[in-house]
Amino acid sequence: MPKVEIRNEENIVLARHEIRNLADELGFSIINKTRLATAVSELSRNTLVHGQGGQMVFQALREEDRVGIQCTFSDEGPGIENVDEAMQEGFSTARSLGQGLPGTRRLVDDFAITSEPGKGTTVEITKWQ
Amino acid sequence: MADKIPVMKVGPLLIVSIQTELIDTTINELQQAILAKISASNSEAVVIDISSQELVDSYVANVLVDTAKMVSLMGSKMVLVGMQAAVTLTLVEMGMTLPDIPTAIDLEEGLAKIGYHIARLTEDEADESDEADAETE
Ligand SMILES: Nc1ncnc2c1ncn2[C@@H]1O[C@H](COP(=O)(O)OP(=O)(O)OP(=O)(O)O)[C@@H](O)[C@H]1O
Ligand SMILES: [Mg+2]
Repeated sequence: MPKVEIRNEENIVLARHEIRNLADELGFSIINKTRLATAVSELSRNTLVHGQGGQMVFQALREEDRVGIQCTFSDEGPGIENVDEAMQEGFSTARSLGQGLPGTRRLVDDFAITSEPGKGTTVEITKWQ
Repeated sequence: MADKIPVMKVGPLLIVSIQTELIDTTINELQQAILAKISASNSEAVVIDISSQELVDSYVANVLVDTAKMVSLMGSKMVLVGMQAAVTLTLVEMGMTLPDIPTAIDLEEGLAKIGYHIARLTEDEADESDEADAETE
């Protein structure tokens, strides 16, 4: 699976370019491409800022009657103490807006987050064309 | 390194037309450049054209909101023009509204929103203003 290392700000831009290109290739609508690319921007920033860097792997999903894109962000950072709390609107340990996770969940079709304190965090999203 | 985004002074206004993809450092530099130029030239308003942006994430949106607050504290106004429909919709769905920033479809409408109207002088008016210029010389 293609992979983007997320170690700095330029990598965030690269991650969203990769996803935008793939979305174009698969014939995504502009709105769904924008939703997905924005979600990728939010999650890769979380990986960089909160997760101390990590990676995004992605793939095209081709089913009989639909195509989509799946992206998985993973890091070996501090993890999240309470995932339910982190998913709440306005919750942030960084005195930011705390809009990233709940906002991203609304932009995609599938959203799964797993995290273990001291071990790291993984977020997997899927968007259908 | 990303290119600097030019902030153009046009009479009492500052016009910023963003042509490159905004990233964290460029948007932060742009904020500094706008604030410095407002204080140096007492500009009445700043118009930012973001029509080239295919994506505005919460980071960039936040810096824009902060910039608008600071611009307003400095007694000036900020208008955002040309945001693509998909970008606007995505921001709304994420729950990121841009409170207190007037937005407009394009530069002309944006200028109108803050009380500036683009008009061509008629030939007579143009002659008069030529004469007026000549008198002051
Ligand atoms: N990869 C991660 N590793 C560790 N903690 C994380 C990770 N992603 C999110 N978090 C935690 O979840 C909280 C909420 O994340 P969310 O993206 O919603 O908000 P934020 O990043 O703090 O602010 P915003 O995204 O609005 O700028 C973060 O403040 C952080 O504590
Ligand atoms: Mg975030």
